[in-house]
Amino acid sequence: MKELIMKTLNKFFKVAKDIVVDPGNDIENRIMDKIKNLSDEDKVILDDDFMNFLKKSNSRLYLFNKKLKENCGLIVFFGILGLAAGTFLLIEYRNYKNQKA
Amino acid sequence: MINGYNSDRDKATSDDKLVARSKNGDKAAFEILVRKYSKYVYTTAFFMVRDSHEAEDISQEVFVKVYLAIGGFRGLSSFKTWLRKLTVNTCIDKLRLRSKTADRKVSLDSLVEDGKEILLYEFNQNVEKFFQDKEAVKDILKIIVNLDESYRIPLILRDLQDYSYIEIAEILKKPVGTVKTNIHRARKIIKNLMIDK
Repeated sequence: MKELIMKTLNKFFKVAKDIVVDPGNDIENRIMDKIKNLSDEDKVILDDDFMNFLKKSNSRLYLFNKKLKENCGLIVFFGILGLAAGTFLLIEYRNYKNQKA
Repeated sequence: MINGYNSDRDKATSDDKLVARSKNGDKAAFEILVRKYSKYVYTTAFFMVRDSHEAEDISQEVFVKVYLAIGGFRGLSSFKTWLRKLTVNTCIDKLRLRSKTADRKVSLDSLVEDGKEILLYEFNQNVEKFFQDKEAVKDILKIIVNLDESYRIPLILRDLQDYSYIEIAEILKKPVGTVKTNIHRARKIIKNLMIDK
């Protein structure tokens, strides 16, 4: 029962991702007005935090490291699998060699 | 409102073109991006900060940042992903600034009555089925919007914005275990309140 409720919740979360709240007051035009009337003073908005974000989002190395960190379970799994396969092949090879001798 | 895009790939291609034109100073192309994503940015901000005026200010700030920095966007992720991360970061900064402010109750109903509406957006599934689910989804959003900040933000980032646990922990500067626990508790609260309904 609990599992069914969680499944349903997950389905609703999926739907909720596609929902927007309409600001209802011409937000697009106000954003464009702001952009058309930008001054040099507005550039302070590009603070250190933002520049750091921009640098990270443009760094292949950072993004690769992040992917590695997020999938470390999978990497460990494939590592163990590879090691097991390697050991198996080595044992098989030795057996083959011994039989031949 | 249902967009007529055939696939995510078409969308990304059209965004890539618009971004490329915007980089060359084409304001019309940038305006298309603003019209396409302003509601998305606003909604993300609204659910995080729970204040329509602040969400609007954040939307403006995000697009000004995008406009000023689009020349430096290399496109290693999709434009939408980049925009989403920028929006979330901006919201987190605002929340940190007002972290001492007491949490308050917000009603999604009053928001709708206030001239704001919940709309369908970029929805690719069966429309009839969606309308059946819409009320339940609205109920869930009402619960989410009133959750305590320590539950609401990680839940939104995980379940609505697809962030990984590690990313959420980095953003919120909290241990991964705490993030997982808070998300689990938030889901449990939603589940219990939905059962009571």
